[in-house]
Amino acid sequence: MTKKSRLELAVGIFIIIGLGVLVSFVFFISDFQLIKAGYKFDVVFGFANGIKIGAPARLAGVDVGEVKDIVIFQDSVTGKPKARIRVWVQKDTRVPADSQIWINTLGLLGEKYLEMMPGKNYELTVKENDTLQGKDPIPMEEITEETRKLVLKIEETVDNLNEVLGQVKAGQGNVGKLVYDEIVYKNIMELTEDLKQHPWKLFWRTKEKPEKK
Amino acid sequence: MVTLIRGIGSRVVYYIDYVGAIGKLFFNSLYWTFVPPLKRERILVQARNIGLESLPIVSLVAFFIGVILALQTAYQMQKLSSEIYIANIVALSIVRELGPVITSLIVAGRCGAAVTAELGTMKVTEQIDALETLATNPVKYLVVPRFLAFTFMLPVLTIYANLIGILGGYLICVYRLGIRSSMYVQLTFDALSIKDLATGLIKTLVFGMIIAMVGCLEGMRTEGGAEGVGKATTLSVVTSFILILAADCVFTAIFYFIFP
Repeated sequence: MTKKSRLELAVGIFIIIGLGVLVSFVFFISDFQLIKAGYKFDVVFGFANGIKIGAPARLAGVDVGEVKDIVIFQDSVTGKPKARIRVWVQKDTRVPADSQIWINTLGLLGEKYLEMMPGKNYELTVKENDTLQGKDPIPMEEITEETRKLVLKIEETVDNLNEVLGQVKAGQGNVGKLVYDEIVYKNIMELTEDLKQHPWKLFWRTKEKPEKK
Repeated sequence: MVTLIRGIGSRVVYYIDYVGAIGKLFFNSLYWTFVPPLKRERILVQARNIGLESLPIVSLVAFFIGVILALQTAYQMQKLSSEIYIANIVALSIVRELGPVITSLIVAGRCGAAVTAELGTMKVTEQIDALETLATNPVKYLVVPRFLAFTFMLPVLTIYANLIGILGGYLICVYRLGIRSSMYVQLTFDALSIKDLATGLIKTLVFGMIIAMVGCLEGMRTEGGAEGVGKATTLSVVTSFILILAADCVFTAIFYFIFP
């Protein structure tokens, strides 16, 4: 082997191995799901909660596919804008048509994914290009609004309670008098003391009473 | 006061002059690249020097970087008990940033300096002038092979560095932090996209040109004997480092703001 061809061989091997590594990198990184067989169907949401293309789709907690496309469109009936999410799933996954589908949050960084909770009717499964209705997540604003209403109500109740308690504390009203007025207590004391000394009073009946009745 | 302004002015003129000289050399080499005959063997010798012979040291450093990155990330991530994200962070930082930059810095220090010293010695001993009297263009004969070798070997070296850096992170995560092997591989490839790989490799093409141009320019401008060669070599390495990091900053900004 001449010196020149050995040089060429060394550099050639170096470059070819490098390119081989690059090709395998690219191959592993790019989703070879393009080669894998599967089918696509649509899920319509009123609120997509920021899901992105490529987000995983999970059936019963197992990754079976991913979000391929997200289109916003005008609902012909209500005129509201809605999101149509195109989902790709592996060929052998059977998604019952009555499955509940919603957008869920995952992990520390809050990635969104499509959660599919399988329904019961396995005779009617989703086929290519079917459209399902997704369950909308409750938007954060709605939760805050509801909470605000609830807090206002609680505040009102507490205000009323405070008023009543204030009256009780001041010794006003029936309950207040019961708590703070010692007359009732004294009466009971006297009664029990009297009964202790003359227990026969419990059983003794005045002669007048039945006559009165 | 006058001396101060004069000093500042002369520095500014010097740097503008420098940029001009690099630009001129760049277009000259680009022009002579496409003028036949292209001496294949001269390119291959440089390719072996820059690529093949740099591979061990590049691999070693990339491996250490991967290990360090995994451990340093683990320090913080274990507090959040989210060691799963170490794979993502190691893969992304090596492929997007550390692989290309560390490789370029090593090659600049190792081969850029060698080129400057070689050409500088030739300049000082008037071999370059001798080439011109032989009707051989020194840019064609000396700069073009190095220019091509640096430009095309650096991306190849970077691919190796990426692979070995990720391997370093893998070893730490699998054998010290208890992440399952298949899971680490899966997470790494999930985290990376073609774009990450491409931005890292495009950068290195430019870094390679920077190293070649600075190295050759400093070599061909050398004056003043052996001492001048030493000065030129130092200047070449420092300038390459600064320009590589500046170019990296510009690239990162471009990829962040313009092509997110």
